[in-house]
Amino acid sequence: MKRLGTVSAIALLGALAFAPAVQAASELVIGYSMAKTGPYVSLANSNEIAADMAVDEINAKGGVNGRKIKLTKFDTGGNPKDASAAVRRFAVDDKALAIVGPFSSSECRVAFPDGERMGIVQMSMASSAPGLTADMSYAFRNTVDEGKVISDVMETFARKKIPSARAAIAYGTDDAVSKAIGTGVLPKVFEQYKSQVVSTVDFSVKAFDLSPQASQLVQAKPEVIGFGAPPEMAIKLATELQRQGLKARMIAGTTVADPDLPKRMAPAGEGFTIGTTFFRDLNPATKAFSAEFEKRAKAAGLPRTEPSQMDAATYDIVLMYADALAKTKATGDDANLAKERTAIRDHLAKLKNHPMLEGPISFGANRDSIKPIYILEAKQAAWTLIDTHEPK
Amino acid sequence: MSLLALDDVGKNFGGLVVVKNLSFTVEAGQRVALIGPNGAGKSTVFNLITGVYPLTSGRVLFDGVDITHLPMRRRIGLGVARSFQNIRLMGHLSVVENIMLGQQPKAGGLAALLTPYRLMPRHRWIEEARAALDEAGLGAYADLSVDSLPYGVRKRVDLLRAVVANPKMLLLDEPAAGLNERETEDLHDALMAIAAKGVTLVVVEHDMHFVDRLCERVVVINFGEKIAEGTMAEVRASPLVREAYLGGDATVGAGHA
Amino acid sequence: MSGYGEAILVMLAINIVVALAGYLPLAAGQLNLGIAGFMAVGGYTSAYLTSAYHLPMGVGMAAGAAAAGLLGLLVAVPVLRTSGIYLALATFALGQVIQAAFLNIEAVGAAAGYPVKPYAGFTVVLSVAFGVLVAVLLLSRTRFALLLTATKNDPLVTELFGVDVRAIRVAAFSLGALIAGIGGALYAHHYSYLEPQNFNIMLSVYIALYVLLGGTQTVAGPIVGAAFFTLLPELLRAGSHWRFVIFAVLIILVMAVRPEGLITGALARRLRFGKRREAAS
Repeated sequence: MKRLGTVSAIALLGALAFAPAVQAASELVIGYSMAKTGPYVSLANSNEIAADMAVDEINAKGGVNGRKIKLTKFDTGGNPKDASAAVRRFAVDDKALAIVGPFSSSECRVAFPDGERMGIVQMSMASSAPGLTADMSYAFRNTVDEGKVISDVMETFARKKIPSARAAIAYGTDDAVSKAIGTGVLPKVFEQYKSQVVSTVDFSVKAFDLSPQASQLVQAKPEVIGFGAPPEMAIKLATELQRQGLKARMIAGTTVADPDLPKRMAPAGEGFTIGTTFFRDLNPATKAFSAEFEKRAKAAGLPRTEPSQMDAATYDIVLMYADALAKTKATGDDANLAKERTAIRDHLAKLKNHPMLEGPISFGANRDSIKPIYILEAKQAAWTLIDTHEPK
Repeated sequence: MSLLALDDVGKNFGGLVVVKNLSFTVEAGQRVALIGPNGAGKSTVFNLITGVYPLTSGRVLFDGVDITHLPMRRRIGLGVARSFQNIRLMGHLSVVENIMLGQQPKAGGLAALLTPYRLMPRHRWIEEARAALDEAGLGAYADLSVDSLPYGVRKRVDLLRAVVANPKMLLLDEPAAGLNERETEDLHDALMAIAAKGVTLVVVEHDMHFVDRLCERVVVINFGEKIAEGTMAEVRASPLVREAYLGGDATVGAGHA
Repeated sequence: MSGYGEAILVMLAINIVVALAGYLPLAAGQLNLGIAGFMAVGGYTSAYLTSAYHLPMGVGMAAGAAAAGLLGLLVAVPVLRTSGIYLALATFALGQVIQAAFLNIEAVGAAAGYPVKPYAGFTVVLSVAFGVLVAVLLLSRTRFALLLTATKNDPLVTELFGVDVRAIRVAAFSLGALIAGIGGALYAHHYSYLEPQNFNIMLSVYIALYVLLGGTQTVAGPIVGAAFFTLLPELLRAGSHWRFVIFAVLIILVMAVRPEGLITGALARRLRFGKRREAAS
């Protein structure tokens, strides 16, 4: 009898957990696939604050089409399988009109084909691996190609006559994005800007010690070091290079755009130059966003309270969706759901220089965003803006 | 021709000589005991006959075939089965399933291996195993897991598993160890019944009273060498044997050693 | 069925398949810590054949399973010379080597990964998984299963009863590899993208845990283990940040209370007898 009780309790719990959620008809639902736990947590867990901020702002102004926006959330843990489950839940159970996320390229690769089959827009705030949206139509990314970002950094060096004739490459081999940057992006960019690559070193992104790679770089005496790996490795390499006495500028794209990086590297890493899509002190809007974000991040007890480029991108995705819902007069009614989802897709694809927090945003042929690139330099433990590349 | 013949068999473990120049024969249908003090090498001799250890020197012949280098799994096919000093059954399986391992030598090839017999009502293997258990008076335990059985019963299941393999010769390593008087008596009867079917028995046993009643012939070894051979009365008279058992202790053959 | 429910059932189905892949060698007493490697072989083989040669998905999956099984057979012979902790280490290393190999094979995208075209939806995944389950259940009703248990329990005695213990071990290992290949192919065609990182050591460890926690004595063990590991984290979603902590504590509790796994042979027998008794009364 006792066993029967336990079994039925488990069955009941299961039924509750896996039953379709019932939605209040008056709300417009947007799904949010977030990597709140798992390997991307340090970059991704603050995105939720930006997303909530955007929704609160929209709803405070009365919502869209007279209805409130409702964000339904699903934690993928950064896991592709869960990102796939998230798409199904949002599309089938929650009747969402569009999906914010997923976060990483690994998740996008699995979730984008699902979204394609189900006919629902997804827009990633962080995935930057090349060619991911090629055969799709519902897959968007509010991110910029790493090749473009890094070549903008070199363009700035050329404009400002910062020496870069001798270049080196340092990259992680066991992470897809890092390897693509090290073996594909950087050699091409250096060739384009006539920098001679005098040394190439690689390492595991989980490596404990980078001193052998650093001493190899020291011997080659480069003026710039193109870097492709996560921020933690940037700190390790910068520290090791300083210890071994090499004064070369490290350059990187958005993969290391951590707002706290200069602080974490200091006193090493002086002159580290990156391209990114968000800078907090750009204008009154970005300052106001950053202040509000900081307040909410503190209240939530997050270790980092400064908004990152992904936080800004997430915020803009929600606002772009709200704008698309308004322009396409979406109702969220079951009968028109498929049509409305597709209308949102078509509206987004046509966006040209749409004014957003990050600057004017357009979508290219492959539905990756085209937006300004801000060139930041690490100076005295803080990022300073040294150049801006407006989209052409 | 003898059923089993050990011909000048030797076994060293590194520098340690465990069996030396050992020769003896067992005739078909005989009941033979292999006795000797603790550490005399009796279990090692069983391990050499069954191929658990390779020989250092000498030959082992069974039924006219030189099995010295035959892989151990081939020997049961020729008719050599054994039990172990410590019961070695599959504890969490049922008695029937344990008995079925004994059927393995005659179970057949790949097709037999992949027959889902447990889905077939009254499959031959299960029926045969049950019949063997019934015949041995163990039918009541058939579906119980071995772990749940008393020691004496497990010992009988262990013996039955070897018998089910239809061996020509059964090597029994201390079959009476740990049994009470009643169980020892039952074991004696069971072994006599097995022998009556023509199975040759070779027994390692410390209980001399039990050996005396069961076996026609005794081979005594000490330090891996044969020191006496013959009927119980003959070996009991041997001064070497008296020497081996605690320097002439007269308890040899006086019941439980 | 809700969309989310379908997604979870697909995960469960694939996890049950790979748990069965880990179960077969464990039933013979061998811990294979390289299951993820065999999954990768099955997944990549099927993905490549269906993409590069446009073979039908069924053929691709069969070829993936065969490739994984064959690799299992090839490595079983040297690897199974070791046992216990050394066998676990050898299979662990094997899994790492396979993952590293796929990180460098440019034909299937190396570290960047490989898109998979033919899509295996809910019905296909569940049907194939069900087929695998039925096959393993059938196998568990044979003498082969008895010999697996005997080999695990006491290889010496098993050998003395005429069994080629080495052959049984090689068969269990290779068959497990083959099933892992099927699991990998299902993963590839359902999730549409393969990355070497998907098949890391943590996955192998989890698969081993499915079986060890569920129990190695019956086929029900790995199924229950896979269900435990797939469904419990979902049921604990409400606990948000704490869910993996709660989950870990539950694993420890289960292993403390039932060190032989959730489902043991004795338990299965008791349940069967219970049913019989009810039917009789």
